[in-house]
Amino acid sequence: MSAIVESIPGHASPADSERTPGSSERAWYRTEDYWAIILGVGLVLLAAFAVWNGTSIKWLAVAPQKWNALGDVATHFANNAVRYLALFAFWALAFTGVTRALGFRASQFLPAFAVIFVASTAIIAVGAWAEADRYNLEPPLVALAIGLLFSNVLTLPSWLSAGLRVEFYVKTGIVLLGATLPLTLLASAGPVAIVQAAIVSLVTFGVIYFLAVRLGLDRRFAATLGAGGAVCGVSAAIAVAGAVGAKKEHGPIAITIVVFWAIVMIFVLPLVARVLHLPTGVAGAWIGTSEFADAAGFAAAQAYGGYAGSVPGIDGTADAAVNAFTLMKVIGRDLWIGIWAFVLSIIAATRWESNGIQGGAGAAEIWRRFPKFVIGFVLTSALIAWVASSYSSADYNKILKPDLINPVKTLRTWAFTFCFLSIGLSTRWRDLASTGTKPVIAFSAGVLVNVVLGFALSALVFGAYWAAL
Amino acid sequence: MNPAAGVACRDCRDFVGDPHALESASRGLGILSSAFNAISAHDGICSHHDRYVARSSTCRDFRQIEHRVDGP
Repeated sequence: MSAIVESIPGHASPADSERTPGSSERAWYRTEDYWAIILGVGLVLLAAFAVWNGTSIKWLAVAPQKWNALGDVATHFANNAVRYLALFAFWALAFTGVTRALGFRASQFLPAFAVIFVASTAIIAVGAWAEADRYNLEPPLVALAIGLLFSNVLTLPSWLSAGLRVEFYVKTGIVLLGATLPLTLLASAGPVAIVQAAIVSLVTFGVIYFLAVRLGLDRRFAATLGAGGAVCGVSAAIAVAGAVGAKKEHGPIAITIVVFWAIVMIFVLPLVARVLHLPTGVAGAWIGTSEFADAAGFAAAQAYGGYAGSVPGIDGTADAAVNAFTLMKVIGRDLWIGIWAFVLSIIAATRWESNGIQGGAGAAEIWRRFPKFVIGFVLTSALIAWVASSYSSADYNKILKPDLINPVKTLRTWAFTFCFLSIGLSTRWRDLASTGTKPVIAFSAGVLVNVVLGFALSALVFGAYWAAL
Repeated sequence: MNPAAGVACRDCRDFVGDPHALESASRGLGILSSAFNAISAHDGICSHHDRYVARSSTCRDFRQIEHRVDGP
């Protein structure tokens, strides 16, 4: 195994550096969730302190504004070059520190991140073009498409992979997103999201699992596939694989199928929703119900939110798409992975044929698998609610919105763009495991049921609710 | 060394829990997820059984890792 670890680009620490006998947990600083909380909450706190002191972080939170002619955007970059350098320095410092703690070499992360930053700047600039909507140049979709094109047509240098930390970028973005999602909305809409997500998750898991078993697949593999389709994509598949003791070769197969469908849905769900003229809140809820991974879903939801106000017939705001998606995916589905893993580990141990390994899962497993970054998301939402409570409605719009909310939103856009580009650049189809037919059939049947049921619940059963979000 | 079941996989020589190694062994894991996330609860792969295992799992083929000796 040491040979494997030594061959990993950018890997800095020895494989067994944390193998101290008797230790029950990996050190907290080797988990992205905690770093996303520290960075996201820290940024919001910094922004709030700046406002309290009569200033703002908006100088740092720079991004291209709407432009018509190339000369406009060139002037913008020329006038704000120092701000962009400062923003790069800020993200580079923060992310290099985090990835160093995770065990990546700074000397490999930094140049890789520089490429990501420059490409993201170009993508955000393209999205700010006044004619971008006309050509469907939504930044998330552009980032993905460019990334996919480069990674599958060209041979990218191996050092670039050190900068493609999709999960960390999206978690940082989600924690920052909490600052713009009202706490009251979280409390009022959360239960609806949980009910809708529970219905779809249970049905989707059931379809994939029972069809996979019917096709003759191993029950542990069937559960791994089912969790991937029903809960939170690749993360859920691997978590359940560990909880039930799935075979090593089954993890990469589940990953390939989930990634394939997640990428397809990034483009298909916004396209179909646009054809149907779904309000942004309804489309966001549907994407949250029927996408398979947070990062992929945010790309689709943010792309659809971009249609608000620019595509005739689509009601709602850009925020409504992202908020509905977040409620459905993060609160409705992600939060429950610990319970899925716990229950399935008990079923595996008591009902399925033994594989020679006894699962050690107890109820504590539910907390151990809890997606901790959600705590940061709720914290930033609560923090902004607390700050806003001391401002009148007029002062909120005059001071807090331009000086605190909008800069945080801009930084969130950057974090998500790093993420979307990284998805594209790290998706090299030729490197993924081949799947065989049966797992694809089982999973695809679940996708079909999930998409139809998700649409029915989002647009018909709870349609009025999500449209008014 | 082959003690009775009851000693957790996390302390076994065959347990591969390093997230870098896990990402390397699970092709495509980093595209839409990560081995560094909290959800994975620091699971690993058993190189003896060739299976994903939780750190707290146990089996009869357990082989204790040697204690690290710090310092010279």
